[in-house]
Amino acid sequence: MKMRRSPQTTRVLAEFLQCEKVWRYGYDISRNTGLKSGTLYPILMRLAEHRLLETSWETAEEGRPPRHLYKLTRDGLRYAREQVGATAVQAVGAPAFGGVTG
Amino acid sequence: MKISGGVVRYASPGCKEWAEGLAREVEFIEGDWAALRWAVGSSRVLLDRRAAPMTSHADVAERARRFSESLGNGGSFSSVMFIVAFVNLIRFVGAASLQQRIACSVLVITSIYMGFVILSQQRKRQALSDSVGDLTLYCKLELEHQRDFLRSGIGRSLRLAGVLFFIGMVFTQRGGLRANPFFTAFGVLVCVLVTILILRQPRLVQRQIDEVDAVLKETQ
Repeated sequence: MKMRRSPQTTRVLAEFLQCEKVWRYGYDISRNTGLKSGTLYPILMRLAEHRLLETSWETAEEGRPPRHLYKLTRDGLRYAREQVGATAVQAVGAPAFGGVTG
Repeated sequence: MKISGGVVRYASPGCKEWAEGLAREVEFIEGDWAALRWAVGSSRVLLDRRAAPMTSHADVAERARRFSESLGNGGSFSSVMFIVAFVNLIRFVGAASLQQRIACSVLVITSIYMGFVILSQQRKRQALSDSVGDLTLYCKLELEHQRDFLRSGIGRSLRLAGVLFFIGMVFTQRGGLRANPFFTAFGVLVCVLVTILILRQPRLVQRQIDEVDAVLKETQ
């Protein structure tokens, strides 16, 4: 099944690439990417479906409920580097002021 | 917290864990308004209806048994559709306005169509083997059959008929759409949700096929 590409997905992948080996909280990703929960979580769910993202529950501390944690898998890291790299190339290729005419 | 609790309670089995994850974050969000926006946004998960994921042969075997049991239900659904068609035919005769007549005709046509298509697709229940491997392959075949049907011309027309059916239901109310605005608003919301679910069906079935493939791959 092909993974749908979108600017929001690329933002989430770029965020994961900031700290590749660290488990992340959903709210932290939301805050750093500027994406609301209703936009972010379908992206995370799609990444998990394609086995690009793994999930885990935090070890429960006294008085605090455990939180859901997310981290890219090895395939996910590879995919993220491709997508974020491709987006950077596209951005560099686009002329700044609409190109030269005449 | 109440909104998040509601989302967890009503999330589909395949989305429960995600709904829980969303709900737990609320306690760690600074600011009541930010937490409220987060909780309201989390209701998006309710639109994603998916069965519990199949991660083992036992899960797949259970799904195969449920497929086999559901094979005989097509006749009941068709009967209901024919009864709905008959009722709306009578309503058509007594309709007070052009809008109601059009809506009743849409309901008659779509319910007869859906009834016949489901009846024509009905297959005989098969005796299932006890072997987990056979059940897994059977489940995969059934899912592929479903997916191919949904993508076929008849499958697409059946889905379209389903959407038109619910739209017709909204327009059949006596006195027009303004007679009961609450019912109209509720009906429109149901139409939108049903349309989203119907359009997503092939993708949901493909997702289940991928899960079965993953289970098969792990045991090879």
